Amino acid sequence: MILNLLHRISPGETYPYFLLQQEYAHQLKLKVTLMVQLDAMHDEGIVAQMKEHHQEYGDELGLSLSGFDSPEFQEKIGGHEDFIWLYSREDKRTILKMIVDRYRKVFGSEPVSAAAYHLDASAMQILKEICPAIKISVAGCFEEGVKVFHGCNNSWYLFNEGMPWGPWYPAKTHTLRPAEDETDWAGMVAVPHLSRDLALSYEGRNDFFASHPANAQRGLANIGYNHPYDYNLVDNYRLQEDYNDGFSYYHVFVSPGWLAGHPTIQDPNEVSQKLYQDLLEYFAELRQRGQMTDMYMSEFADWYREKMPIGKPQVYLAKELLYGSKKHYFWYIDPYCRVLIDTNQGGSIGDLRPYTGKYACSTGPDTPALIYGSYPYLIHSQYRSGISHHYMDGARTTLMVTHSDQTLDLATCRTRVALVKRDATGTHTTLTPAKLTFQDGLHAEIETTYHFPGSGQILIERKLTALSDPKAVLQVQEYFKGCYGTTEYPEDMHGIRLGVEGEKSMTLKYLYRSRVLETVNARATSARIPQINTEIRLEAVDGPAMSGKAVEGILFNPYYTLTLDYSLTLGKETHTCLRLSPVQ
Amino acid sequence: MPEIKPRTIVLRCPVCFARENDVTLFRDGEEYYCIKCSFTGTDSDIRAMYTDLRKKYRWILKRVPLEEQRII
Repeated sequence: MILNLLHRISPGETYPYFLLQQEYAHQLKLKVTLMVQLDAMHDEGIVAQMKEHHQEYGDELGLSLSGFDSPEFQEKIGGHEDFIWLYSREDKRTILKMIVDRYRKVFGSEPVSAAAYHLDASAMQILKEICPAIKISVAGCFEEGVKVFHGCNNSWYLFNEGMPWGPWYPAKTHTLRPAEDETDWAGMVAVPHLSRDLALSYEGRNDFFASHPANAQRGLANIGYNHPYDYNLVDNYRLQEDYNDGFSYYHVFVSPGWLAGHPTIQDPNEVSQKLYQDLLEYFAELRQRGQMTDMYMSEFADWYREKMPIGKPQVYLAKELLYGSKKHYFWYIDPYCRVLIDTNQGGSIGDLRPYTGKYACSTGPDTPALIYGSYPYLIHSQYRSGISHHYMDGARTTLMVTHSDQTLDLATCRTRVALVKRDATGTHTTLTPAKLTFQDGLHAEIETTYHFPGSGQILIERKLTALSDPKAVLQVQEYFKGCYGTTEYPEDMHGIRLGVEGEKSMTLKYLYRSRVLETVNARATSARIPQINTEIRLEAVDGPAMSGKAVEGILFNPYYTLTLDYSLTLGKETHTCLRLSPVQ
Repeated sequence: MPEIKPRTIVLRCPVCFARENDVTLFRDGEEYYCIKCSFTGTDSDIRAMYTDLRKKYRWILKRVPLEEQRII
């Protein structure tokens, strides 16, 4: 595992705690990258001390793209906006030039690393233009958005969901989308702010469950000095080496205020400080055992450029380790899509981001997006209903299995990841069989395998591996219920075109009228969503399916549903391609 | 260099926390009260509720090392 450890320098009451963080890291000889704010660069004492830490301990100096305060800032910009991604393009340029120039003046060198909770497309482009030496930046907080907004009394305006959980090559037009190739790349390596729990950050707040001991304290996930969860999360990231050719990455960036009486922490300061120190000691122990390498930010950027080709997919097998549910979530990402397989729901897709549409977005008051920097989803089963509870279901996928007029939903079956295989043809994830029992006693077991060959294709294989009556024939329906959006609220679906292709081929424009397009011998069903430049198709791979439908929603259930129907007998398989492509 | 000041620990509303919202409680004498919901309680009431809230984390004291994570 590779570790990037960052400390942020801000003047004021928390500065002594920053020095404490430094003391812990230096005692352990950990490599630290120091992110310096504009206001700190106007404090001669702090600048002198940072130079000393750089010279004596080798700490890398970088830019923190927050903490905007200086006489020049007040004269040219003023106001209270603290985050770079929330300024207009013109102001971003002025501020970034101000910060970079100040850095050059006080440190006499070019900065090579930077950090912002979110670095949107225009800010990244301007930063690279002003300072080509920048190799790497913290550029987003994985799945920070709706849940944290709610959790902070609807007052934390950081929306950057739908991004990679690990390092990535950001695309020029949307920095949360992994670049397709060199020409699509914004020119610097991006890393997430903190390593998040990929089970609990999907279900809940990412700032309760992350590589940040005080975040776990905030989530009440420690009992005083006892905090095994922090170590378990490190080890869950280490586990990913098994699935990513030996690569895993951990990012720690704790502001000093978290060691100094943050209002969301009810433990004494001594506990917060000890938990942070413990975590650093664990890193030193792992390094001692040869199981972790600490790097400066720019050092990691060089390593990543050399070792990791643009476009290489990454996967993450998350195992829930705090509630003790042992739930598995499987994540897959490449330049064309990000997919979450919710094994607890029979292997349904719980979150789907269609990067292949190359949805473009910058944030700021001069943009249509304003604060919403997230990459849009097609499915978010937490925000958009998912499986049916008291009323109709929402965005999700599943397999409906019918026998003798009874239909069972595979999403009601708990499964786990049984096997992850990666080879020249892509990534292949097989789940444990979903076990179904019908009212007449017929028992069936269906094994699902997802194949990710790249290019926006997700191949779904369903195999009937056990059947109590070997002669029985099951009717199975591949089911995709989608929408689009970046928050929990529905967007305008007008303009979406639904279609079926088969014995009859038809299309309709979405008008919230619950119309159904249906054909036998269905080759494909589809939805074309111009709002996010994405077309999604369910395609029958082994010749036409028996039938297929495209179903329009209503205002009280604003989704579209695509289905393909097959017969399935013991030992046989169905193959369906879920294809994501840009709108032509 | 700034001085380290003594800290008064503030408490968060345990009812709002159960909804994953961080709401700082106000204090009136010995009683704390929430401005977002109708919760009131003493320091010990609140800390007892924090203990209850932690019960959902059945593995809060369980170390699950890498080798064990491979097989669960």
